[in-house]
Amino acid sequence: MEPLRTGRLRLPRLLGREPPMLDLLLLALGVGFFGLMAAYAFGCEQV
Amino acid sequence: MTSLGWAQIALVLAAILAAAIPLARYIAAVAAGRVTFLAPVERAFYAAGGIDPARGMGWRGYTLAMLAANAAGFLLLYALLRLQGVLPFNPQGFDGIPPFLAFNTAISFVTNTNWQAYSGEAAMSYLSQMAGLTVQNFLSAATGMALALAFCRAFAAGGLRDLGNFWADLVRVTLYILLPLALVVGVAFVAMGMPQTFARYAEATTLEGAAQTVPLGPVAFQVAIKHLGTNGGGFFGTNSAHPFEGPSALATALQIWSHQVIPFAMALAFGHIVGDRRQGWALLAVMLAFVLGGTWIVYAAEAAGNPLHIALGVDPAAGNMEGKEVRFGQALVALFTATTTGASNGAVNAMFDSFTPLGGLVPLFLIQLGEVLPGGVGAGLYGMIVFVLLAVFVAGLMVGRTPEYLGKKVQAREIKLAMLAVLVLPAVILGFTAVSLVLPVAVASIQDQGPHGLSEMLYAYSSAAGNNGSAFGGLTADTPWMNTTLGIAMALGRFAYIVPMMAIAGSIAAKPKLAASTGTFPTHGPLFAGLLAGVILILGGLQFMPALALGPIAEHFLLFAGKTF
Repeated sequence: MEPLRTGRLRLPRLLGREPPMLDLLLLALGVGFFGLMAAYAFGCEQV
Repeated sequence: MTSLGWAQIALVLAAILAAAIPLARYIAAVAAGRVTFLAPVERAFYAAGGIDPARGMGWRGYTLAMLAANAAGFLLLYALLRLQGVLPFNPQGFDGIPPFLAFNTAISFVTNTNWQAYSGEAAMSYLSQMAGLTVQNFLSAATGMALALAFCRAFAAGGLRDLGNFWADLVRVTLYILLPLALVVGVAFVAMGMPQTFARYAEATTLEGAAQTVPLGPVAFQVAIKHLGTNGGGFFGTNSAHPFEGPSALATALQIWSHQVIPFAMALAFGHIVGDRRQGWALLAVMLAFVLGGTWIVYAAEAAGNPLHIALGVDPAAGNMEGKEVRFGQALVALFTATTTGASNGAVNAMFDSFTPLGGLVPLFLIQLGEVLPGGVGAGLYGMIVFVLLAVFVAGLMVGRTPEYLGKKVQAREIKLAMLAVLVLPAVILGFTAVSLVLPVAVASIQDQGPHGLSEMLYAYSSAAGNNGSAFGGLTADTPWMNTTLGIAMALGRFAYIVPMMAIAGSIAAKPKLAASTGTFPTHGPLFAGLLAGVILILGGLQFMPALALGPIAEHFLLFAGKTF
């Protein structure tokens, strides 16, 4: 890995070659899952 | 099989039971808040988090707090893995983990699965190993134990409105049970030859004059919690088969002890918490019977050897040694295999892909039975109690009485919720396996043809959904499809089970506790233990039998017909 120059540090370089949108999508998938489970807990109350 | 091999197995199991009995009393004392020797540290955590440990939580509050803690763990671990390239403690200069693999790994360690689509020594910085993976090893194990303690409390008394405080349980389990045990076992592993260092990897020159890199790192203490917390994620890619992660037969025996002692102690702690120790012993007896049965089948199948190898003139005396370390031998491999898959640990000291078909069937089947034999720390106990509720329901249908367990009536609501929980595993495993066996993008991950290839895919989703984490081998898992779907399978297998299980706990807790009468079905004797084992086999086993028939069972018959894959 090339040394980072802090003055020129930019998010895409920090995270590698992958598009940052992919990170957002995967994080949304993970957090969304936990949200879904929270909703499931409310649903189980109705059983 | 040899008598010496069985003596090794008996010795390790005796050591586990001998330690589980006092540990169970201690766990029950921790659950009741009677252990306080680290009270200042405990209070510091509460003060930092603004937590009132005396404030009880209902089942929903407890579950939502658990979900919030785990969501935060997922976010932090994902960020750490992606950013490790610019963070310290990275002497090998590893880049950040790619997004799909980071997603899979973060879910994997948060759910106590520790499925690994990477080799630790070739991908993870020391910071990621310590502050990311090891921390989650503690927290995911503590989460399972906290949930199990909450579930136990539901049966302890009548008319309860709360199940305890999740944050207090999490802190107490970590401080008083997991950390002290991990410290002792970690020191023992260092004494047995496991590295514990921040130094760079060593460079060596082999006898042939070739350059070789020898990976090092803070191994010993990560391996300690990897087993104690039934996490299973190896510091090295080959897990406990690596000479630095499984340096000797004694270290292997201690690893088996470590991933069995808390799950067995939790079963006995249940008896202490509900005030009837015989109930804990009944659960333990069923768990132990399956462990012994699984060990016997693996040992017998592997010691008998591969008929095709024997036909080629290989000495049958050693059995099938493909994929196994000579220094461990067949007996410790068989015991390790049955305990690591029965306990939802997932560490391996041999490669299942190289086992005989029947030897490979056992770990697969033990996972599919629901990871309750004895299961993960905490998770095994609450999973077992869900099966207990179904067993008393079946018994109630037989004799025409409203089923009850420990003085609590088990009614339609609890059975509906129990079925929601136990159907998660077959739905996730069979659903994802079926889709992956027809999608070209997933089929490309399979290495072998025929039933063996099917076993590779079936095992991957079984391991993920069962939160086991071991790999059958032969499957290319680091692809966007496999990383994403296995991640979803792990999350569903953990949390979609926990939510209805906690709803059952809330429902049971609120019910009055009835006194036992002459018509009460005793749940501590051999009759009930047999019924419980039958329910586990039928509910867990029958759902997967068609898939198993197409995989390892078909391969077994084809092997004896002279065909291999």
